[in-house]
Amino acid sequence: MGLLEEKDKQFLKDKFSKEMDKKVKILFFSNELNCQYCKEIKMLLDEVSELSDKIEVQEFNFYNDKEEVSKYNLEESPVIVFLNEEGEDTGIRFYGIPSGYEFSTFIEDVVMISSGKHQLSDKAVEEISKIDKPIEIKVFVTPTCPYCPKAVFLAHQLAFINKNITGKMIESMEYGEWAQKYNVYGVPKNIVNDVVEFEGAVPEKVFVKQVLEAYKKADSSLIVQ
Amino acid sequence: MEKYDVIIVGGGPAGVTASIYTARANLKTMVIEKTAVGGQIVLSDIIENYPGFPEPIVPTKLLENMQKQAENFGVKFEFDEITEIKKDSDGFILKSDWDEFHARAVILAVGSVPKKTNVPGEEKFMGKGVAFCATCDGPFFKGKDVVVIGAGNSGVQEGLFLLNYVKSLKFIEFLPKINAEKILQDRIKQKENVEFYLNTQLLEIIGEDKITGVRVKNRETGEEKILPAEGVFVYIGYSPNTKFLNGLVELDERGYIVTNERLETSVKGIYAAGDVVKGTKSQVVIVAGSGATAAMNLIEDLEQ
Repeated sequence: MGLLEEKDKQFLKDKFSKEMDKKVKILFFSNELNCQYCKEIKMLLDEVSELSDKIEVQEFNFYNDKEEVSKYNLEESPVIVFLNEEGEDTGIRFYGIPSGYEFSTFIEDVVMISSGKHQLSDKAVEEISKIDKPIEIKVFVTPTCPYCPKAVFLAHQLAFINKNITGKMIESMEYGEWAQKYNVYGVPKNIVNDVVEFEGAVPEKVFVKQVLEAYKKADSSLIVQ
Repeated sequence: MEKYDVIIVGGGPAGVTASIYTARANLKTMVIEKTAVGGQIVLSDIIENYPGFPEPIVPTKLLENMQKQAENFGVKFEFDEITEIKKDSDGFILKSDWDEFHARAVILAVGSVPKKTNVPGEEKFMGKGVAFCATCDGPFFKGKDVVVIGAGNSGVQEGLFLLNYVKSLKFIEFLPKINAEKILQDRIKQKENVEFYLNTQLLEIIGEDKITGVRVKNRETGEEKILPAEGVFVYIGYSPNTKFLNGLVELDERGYIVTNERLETSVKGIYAAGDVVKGTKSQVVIVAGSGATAAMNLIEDLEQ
């Protein structure tokens, strides 16, 4: 039995055919040793890719395919990486299964990459475009958290408009050790470059401000060195 | 500056319902929401008393549908936080940090936020064991001892959800009785590993790096004790989101907006809807009706 219901498939098919333009490549890095939901993730990706000929899915083994793993700077698996039609890394990552509420973020990402249309304000784009150093945004979530997709999609949109930014959704149950390391007991929890931490699904401008704060810190740490 | 006929501040069921009515009356309408469409209700796991849905519904699904319905009538949804509302010659200017919007009329459907306990330890462990959203954060407490502060409707309903994960659940209730609806009481009483501490006051949340317990006092005997717990979920009611209004409209002593029966506030052209209105119960069906009432009166007034 599939993971998606027939009526959801039809809805997505229509959405993709209406809103998608260019191809989207989805890379899935799995492992067979320590992965609760790898089978389900692969199944979900395959089911989604069947709904549009513009969605391509490729599976890699996290332990064997070392070249790709280092190319995309992946520290753990399972992880999903999004590339655009030209094969460029969008900086969009899902660490763990994009299920529950996060499935909608996953679909929004596909459409955004394909159509090139994001939902950020002009002001946010202007501010974020100034960032010229690597920024990593971690968003810890649970699949049952209704506010989390908002935070994840913001992180993903920022990654989409600026190549220096990586936006990571992290599913806190699959990545329990990371959740513990960062003392996560409430979601969404957002961590930028491990120097700025904030909680909740905040409005776009607050999110952007926190990212700029981390960017400033990245700047001053360079001066100190 | 973008101009609208109606701007609704707050994207919960009250605000979204109001927007459906105003947009359907051909008024150019925007809803401004600071986090995500849905308001407080999306933090609940299910709704089973909204008429027309014989099976329990997921709140986000209901609100998504409301949003779609509003968008079908042309409502624009904007995600921003309004920090100031000012009167001008032909309406109101609504300011956020980055933007300004103009509206001929405003509906305040800003709702409320969960109340904090304000006991020592709460601030320290906020998001690190003290939580307000069982559906969001419940999974972190798998196999753990958890306390719920407040045995009203929210506390008991969310407690039922937490039982999917936790090892034990202890309710701390200030009043001498459980205040949840009978149907919820019956359900929770059937569960094992649930204890009620009634007439009991929370004094402190204890722990070094992590929560290890709560200190409580029996209000009748004065006896204090420490209950072991790794998580504390707080459901002691709500307080209205009206600070940003800065005295613009009349509020009651608890901060709720005072209106007349047409849901007009003390300022002409500004209406209020939902549980931010004094005396309105926090139920989806009630606040949706309140949104419709405010919208219909506003439409009448703008057409004059």
